[in-house]
Amino acid sequence: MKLIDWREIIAELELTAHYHNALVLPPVYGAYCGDMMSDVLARARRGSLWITIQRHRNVIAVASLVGLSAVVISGGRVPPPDTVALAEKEGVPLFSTPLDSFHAAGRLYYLLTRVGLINPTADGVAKPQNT
Amino acid sequence: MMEELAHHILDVARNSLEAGATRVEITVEEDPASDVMRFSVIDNGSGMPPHVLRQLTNPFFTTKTGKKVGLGLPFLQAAVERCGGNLEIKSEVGRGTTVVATFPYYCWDRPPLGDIPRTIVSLLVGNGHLDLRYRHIYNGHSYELDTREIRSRLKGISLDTPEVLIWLRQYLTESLSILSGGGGYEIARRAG
Repeated sequence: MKLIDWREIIAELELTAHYHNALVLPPVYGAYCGDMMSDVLARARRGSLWITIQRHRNVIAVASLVGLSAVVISGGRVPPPDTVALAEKEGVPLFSTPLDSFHAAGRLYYLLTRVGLINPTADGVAKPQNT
Repeated sequence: MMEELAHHILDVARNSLEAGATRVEITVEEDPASDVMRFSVIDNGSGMPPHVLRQLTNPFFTTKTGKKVGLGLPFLQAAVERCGGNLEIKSEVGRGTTVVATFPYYCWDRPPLGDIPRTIVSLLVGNGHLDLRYRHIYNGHSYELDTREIRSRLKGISLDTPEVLIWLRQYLTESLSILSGGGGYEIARRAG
């Protein structure tokens, strides 16, 4: 299976890193986008990159629990020091981007589709839910 | 953005000031063992008649002229509902208003408490005469701050002089940290 080079993700999503540079970045197999913690816990998959506007420490807890490859905080928002410290402690690669969630996700979608990690006709379809 | 409970508290307490309150009592209660995180804001402002009270969580209702939507309380209502909590608003014309928001402590979607000292200091800026009582209960231990007491010790120096506010913020930060047994107590919460 082909993977996307992290350098390409960093350049394309205009990422700033907020982790220790000794950290080895895990492979990215997919992505999820969302700001509601319980939704991300339920639907994001291990090995995915997560795009969110949330920046409190629970973001790191959720990322660690799900086994996400990295967290990207969007919209030009910067993680506070306690979140950065927890990310370092947990070994979760943490980034921020000036792009909003829609545009960051759009660019990543293009990269993932190109290497065949996303199937545009089948992926990302949620089962209908009762309200 | 309303990303912390402290932002919601500031928003509610600002409503109190706009309602002409001279005394505002804010209480935060953290009780992890009982799975409760609650805050209340009690004021002696002008209060609201029942027809206004009924509209409070309607986003297309606002008492401010020239504005079509008022989102402060609807956002708080939404934050509470997201976690299956409870929002209670009581008011009486001429007497004041009480807002109580109760959240489960362990809920992933509950906003973190956030920067309370900043909220308190923000309320006092330009409102040096406000009687503000802040009470924080953590695991049954409580801490209390009353601006009336601080004001009496300041001997005429206004409470909202920058130096006093800077000190107050620092003092509150340290006091709350001691109350919760050292910094970083609100560790990433486990799911309910």
